[in-house]
Amino acid sequence: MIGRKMGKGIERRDFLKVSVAASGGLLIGFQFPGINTLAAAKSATGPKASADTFEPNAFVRIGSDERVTVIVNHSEMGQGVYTSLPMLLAEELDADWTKVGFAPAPVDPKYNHPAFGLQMTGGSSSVWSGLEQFRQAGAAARSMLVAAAAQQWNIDAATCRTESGAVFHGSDRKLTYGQLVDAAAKLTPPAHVQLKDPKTFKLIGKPIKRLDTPEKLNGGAVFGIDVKLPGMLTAVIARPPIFGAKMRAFDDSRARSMPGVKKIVAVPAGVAVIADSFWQAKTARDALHVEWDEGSMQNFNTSEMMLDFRERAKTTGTSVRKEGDAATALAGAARKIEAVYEVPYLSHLMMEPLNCVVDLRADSCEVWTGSQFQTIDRANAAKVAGLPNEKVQLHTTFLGGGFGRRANPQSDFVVEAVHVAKAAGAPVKVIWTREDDMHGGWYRPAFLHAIEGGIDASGNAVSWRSRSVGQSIMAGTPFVAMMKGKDYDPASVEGIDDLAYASPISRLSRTSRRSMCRCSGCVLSDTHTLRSRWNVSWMNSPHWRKRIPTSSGVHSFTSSLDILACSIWPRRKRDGANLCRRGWGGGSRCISPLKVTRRMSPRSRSQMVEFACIAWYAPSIAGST
Amino acid sequence: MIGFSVNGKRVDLDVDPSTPLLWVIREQLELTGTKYGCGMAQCGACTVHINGEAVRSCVAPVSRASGKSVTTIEGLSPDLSNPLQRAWLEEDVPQCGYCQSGQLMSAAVLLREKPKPTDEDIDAAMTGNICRCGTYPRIRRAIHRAAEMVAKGGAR
Repeated sequence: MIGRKMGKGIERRDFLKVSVAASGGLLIGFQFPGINTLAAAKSATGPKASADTFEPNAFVRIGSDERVTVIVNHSEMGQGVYTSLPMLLAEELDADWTKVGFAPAPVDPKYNHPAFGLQMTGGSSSVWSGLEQFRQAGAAARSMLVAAAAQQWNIDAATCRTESGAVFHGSDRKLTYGQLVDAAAKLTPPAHVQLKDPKTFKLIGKPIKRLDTPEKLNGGAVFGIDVKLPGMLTAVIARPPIFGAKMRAFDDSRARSMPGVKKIVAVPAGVAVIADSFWQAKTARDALHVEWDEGSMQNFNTSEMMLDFRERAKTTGTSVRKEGDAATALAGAARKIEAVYEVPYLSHLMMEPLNCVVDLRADSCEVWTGSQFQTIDRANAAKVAGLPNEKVQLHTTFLGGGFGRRANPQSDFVVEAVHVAKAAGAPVKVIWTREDDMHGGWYRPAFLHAIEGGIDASGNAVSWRSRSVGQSIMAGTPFVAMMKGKDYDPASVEGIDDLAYASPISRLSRTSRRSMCRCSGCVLSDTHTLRSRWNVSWMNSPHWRKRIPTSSGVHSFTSSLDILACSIWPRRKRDGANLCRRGWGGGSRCISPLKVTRRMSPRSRSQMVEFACIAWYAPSIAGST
Repeated sequence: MIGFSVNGKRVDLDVDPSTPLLWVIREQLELTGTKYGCGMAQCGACTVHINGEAVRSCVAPVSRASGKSVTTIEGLSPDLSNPLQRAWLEEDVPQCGYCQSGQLMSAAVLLREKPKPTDEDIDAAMTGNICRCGTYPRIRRAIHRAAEMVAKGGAR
């Protein structure tokens, strides 16, 4: 909903704030999109001229064959950035869309996320952050091509127009972009460019077929797991059965002599079996006998943890948000509901299990993988390889799903592959089996989230009390700086500290939004942020639109309040039902995974409306960004 | 030595006969369009045809293909002329795309057996092919569209 109806209920500034928080809190060097993007878009070395290409900036390459290649700094993991971002650039370039292609960007600061200061993909942020960046890059290229044509015709550039990959003057003069490549490459990129009036858009806002579809229908698309290098070996790792366990000793007497096995070595991640092929490595890995020091997590279980969460939920946690007197407002509410949401640990479960290819040489290292964190992955790989960053090249492949698992602050799947490559003495691909991937941790954390809310006789939300308990994502990672000045993890209170609704009902009611917005509901939120004994991470997916567990409860409870209001006020009832039917929420309020453990007055009605809401919202799930 | 044909080409391989067909296809034959998803016939990403039947190649030993004809996604049609590929293009089905080879190979068997499948037929036949992006509604539409193409005399 936020993306679709932006500016109507939520101010753009709020939207950006919400979006950034949604990223898992990567609030590093935050700025509004568009600022300084032209400077960032300029190629570090200035426009490049080769025999047959024109590279006006880091984001586009035009060939004398008319091909326009858009260099995309975000990873394609199904969300469509290899099409949406080229569309932005092609729009301002007035390119012939049938000639537009894409290429993944190498790792370079000029490809950093304009808002987050890292080369990365996440937080549903690629399109909004790239909007002006890619438009400006396209407009700059267009302006140089126009200048080149005007020069050849010896006329004022302002009298030229562009369309479908060519510059026109009057009714008889035309030069295609391919014909202008050499001349344009000799010009200086403009300091400022004029962007189009959105009313004149030909591509943006139109349904356009994805550019990456054909190669995904004939086996041609190369995912990380498909990369093959000459002389490459394949490794499978025996991994700890318990988080935090360490390898004490291993017996490889049987595995060592199995066919295809080249080496068996201890690495920090466990014991790596390096072989000619996957199946040989996997069967030999299964034939290893490894002794583990099981560490402090050996008696941990989630049922006991959830009991502990329930105990903690009885006490007041760290204050997150306080507006008005929520307790008094709740006591005076006409109708009240209360719900406790318990959400479990969740594995990201990408269709493509984790994998990474590394070719480590004496003075260079090349990495091929489906990464969401290029800057971090390269730096971590360089550290293990003992090389400076610039000696490490990371090639981003297609991602068979990401969901946040490939945005790992410790680059676990990359770092271990560099360790294995050190031992392999040849290019090596580390493949995680499905079981390795499922057991491998970095789950979306389990949470308990208790919410109480009340509405007045007119259906206005008057009170919202929230308490959450769960494990911090940021603690123990380089992003711990995000917790500075707070006693809680901002990633653990998504939807709580930045509750996007001044009053939940105001979001649903079209007819009386204005008056509703003036109604100030009282909000009281607190949280228990637990330090991790093992790693957890953010998750995004079409099914859990927001990746932080508490936001699910927020959205679900918001719906409950909305429907409660509908039930007592006929006009609201009609509005609410209509809005739900029309897919209001765009699926982003999907609440189906929640387990509602307790519900109070009015018991039967609220349960009924809760499940009705699931049915209404779930069919409109859609990917974005 | 194990001999069989892959996408119409005869291959003879010196390989442990218990190796899953999937890894032989991906590694020895370098046809990487067939994907590894689970290794236990639970997700369908590895679906290929052996003598026209849909098989989960991650659990089928390569010996099972001996003397038979194997078709992978690369053999469905390299130029995207198969009605299913055309329908997939028209409906813009894939997102991340990792599962789509398996989806197409399963759909091909369905269409051969049921040239005019109902929604229920499609759901039943495709239930073993998981898509983590959730492209199911478009897959269903694309199968109907492909069925129409075939009915109207499209290339088959």
